[in-house]
Amino acid sequence: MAKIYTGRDGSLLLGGTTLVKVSSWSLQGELETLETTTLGDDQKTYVPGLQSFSGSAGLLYYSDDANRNDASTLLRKIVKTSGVSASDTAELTLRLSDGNTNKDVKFTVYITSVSIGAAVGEISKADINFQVTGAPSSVTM
Amino acid sequence: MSVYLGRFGQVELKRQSFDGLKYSVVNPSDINTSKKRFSFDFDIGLLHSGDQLEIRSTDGSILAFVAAAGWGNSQQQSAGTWYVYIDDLGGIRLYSSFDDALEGLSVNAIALQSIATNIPISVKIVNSIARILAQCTSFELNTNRETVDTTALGEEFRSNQSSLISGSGNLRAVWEYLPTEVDNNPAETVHYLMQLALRTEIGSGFAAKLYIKTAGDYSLGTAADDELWYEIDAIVTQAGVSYGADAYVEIAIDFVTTGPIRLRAKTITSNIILQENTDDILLEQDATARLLQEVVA
Repeated sequence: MAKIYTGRDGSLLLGGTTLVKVSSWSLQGELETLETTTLGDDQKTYVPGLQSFSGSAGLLYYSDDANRNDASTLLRKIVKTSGVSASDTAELTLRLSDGNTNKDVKFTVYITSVSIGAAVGEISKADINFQVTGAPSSVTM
Repeated sequence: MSVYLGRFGQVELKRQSFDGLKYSVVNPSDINTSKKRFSFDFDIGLLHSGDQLEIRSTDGSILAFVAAAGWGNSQQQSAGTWYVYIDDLGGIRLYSSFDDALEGLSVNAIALQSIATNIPISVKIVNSIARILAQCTSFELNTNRETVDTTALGEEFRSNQSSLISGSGNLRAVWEYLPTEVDNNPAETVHYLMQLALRTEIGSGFAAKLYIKTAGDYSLGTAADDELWYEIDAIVTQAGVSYGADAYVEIAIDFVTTGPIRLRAKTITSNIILQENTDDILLEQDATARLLQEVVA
């Protein structure tokens, strides 16, 4: 069945748990290309190099009745009193779902930057950027 | 079900400024004791006749240029509050009443006396008495609640969170220049709001009560004397004059509110004691005393 996906179909999971009040996510995938062009070639040629993935997400700074605050969980990956260690990773799943089938990209990331603020007349929202380490562990998108 | 007309509405205006103090110096040469007039450096349009000023010396010295008779306790102090009349040349006379300040007559002005040294002062327009805006023909107040979008991924309906409240509006009045009265009380003229729009240094603020219903509407029975009004602090953003040979001169003022907007009500309780049986109503202090009712024929 034909399907156009929108923000209504999107979600972001941390360690398999769906985060609440996520307003956006995005993913960028890149492939470095290594040039193999030689003398006498008419066109440039390349071979694939290293892949990298990064992305961003926006979360409302929101505490539910049980005091769960997903934005805070991700913020504290980098906003902390001790240094960031190799274990400060997060397992994120970016998901688009039609209700029956999930289109996922799952990977381990380091949170590379966070931004949060309060402004008159606006909601407080945490914007995070992440860098994927290693290959995605699952891709069904 | 009723339809209400604007017969029992009015606008009450209170002069005030929100943007701080004006600092200046009163020099000995600024004082004319025979004319009861003094001055200090201020831009034309800063002060208007009828403003109630708090004048305060910034170095703590007494305001020696105001004679002792001009003080409530007949003792000169370092700060005082008076109504002012501003003449065409920027001269100031002090008065103890709003009416006198609008008339600006020398005979009613507070006496001044010479000083030997400069007195540094600060001036601000203070809260004064609310007065009915004369010849007001209409007003409009819009309150606006902003919302912020809190819709999250996966949701099918937009969700919003309440945010800030703001207000704006306008009022119209037939132009009046001379001091006037409403119900035998001094009234504010819309001319003052025109002046406010042009005041530069201490802002164009005013406080107002916009009455949707005033007392005296006897068509409402027991609610005749109830009152309902919006209470706002506002800043004049635009003043327009409509002038034509075949029409009365009308002034339109646009404003935005600043700070809280309150919709207030004053309900008058009925002065009836209900006794549902034939017993006496006894007074607590004296068991033999009775509450007597005077029957008005």
